[in-house]
Amino acid sequence: MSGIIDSAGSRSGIIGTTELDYEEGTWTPTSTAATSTASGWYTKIGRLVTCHCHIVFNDVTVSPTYGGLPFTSHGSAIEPMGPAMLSNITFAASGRTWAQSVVYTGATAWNIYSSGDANSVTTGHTTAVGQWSRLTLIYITA
Amino acid sequence: MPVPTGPGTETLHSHFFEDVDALQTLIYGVQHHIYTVLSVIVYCNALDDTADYGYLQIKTYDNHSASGTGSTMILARFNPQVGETYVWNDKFSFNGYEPSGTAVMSPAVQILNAAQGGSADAELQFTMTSADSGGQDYDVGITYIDQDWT
Repeated sequence: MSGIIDSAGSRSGIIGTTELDYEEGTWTPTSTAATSTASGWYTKIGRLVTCHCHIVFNDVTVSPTYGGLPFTSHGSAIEPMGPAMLSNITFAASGRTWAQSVVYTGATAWNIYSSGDANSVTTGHTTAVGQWSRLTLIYITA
Repeated sequence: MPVPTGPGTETLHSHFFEDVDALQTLIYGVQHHIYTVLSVIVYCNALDDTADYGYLQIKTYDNHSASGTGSTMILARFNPQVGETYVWNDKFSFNGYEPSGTAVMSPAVQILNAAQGGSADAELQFTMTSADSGGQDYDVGITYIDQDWT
């Protein structure tokens, strides 16, 4: 492999800092709402983490919050967004047609934001028994 | 390979240096030899300052300059902290001796390089920011192939 010596991926450099690590596994998404299913999978290449998860809710909770990401996200001001698919969703704001996953900075917390109308993108939705969410969360670690 | 004058041999070598705190020659070139460095391992025992660097450099003829004999050219600068290990793991080769009739690179000089007909050896060296037998201190290991075409 060729490149800048000491850069990520170079075969030469400081041991432990230049190899791109690869890791895959499972993680358990957490929520302030009750769940009957909460499972997730992840792949980590270097600092890039891609997570998938499947959640089935088991109660009615207003504006739940979420966490449990397998790695703490980078502390930059950018909160990366990813795709989200939700069944029978009830957004706190009316007129919303899109849902996105958002990973908070410097944390293992994430949430679901809605958009699709002329107003600001906001968080907040209400769960229901049997309602499910499938999301992809892509972010970089600290 | 250098211009062969005999059947030639190829041998694998390793050298290790403990508590290097000043310039250390890793390989002294011999005429009509060619050296292929396989790896250089540098462990940092101590630093004067966290911004101190180690250097891997070669002393040989600089084909960019007509008077470039004995020039020192840096191949890598690295900054392992105390307790960290730096590994040079990309192979490269160099001639044991400088060419005769040295000049800037040309097709003719390229042939002279291979002939190694000069009077000065080439050396692979390790040095550091504070090469003063002071606080900066490394353990260094090198493995290489020595092809002898004398």
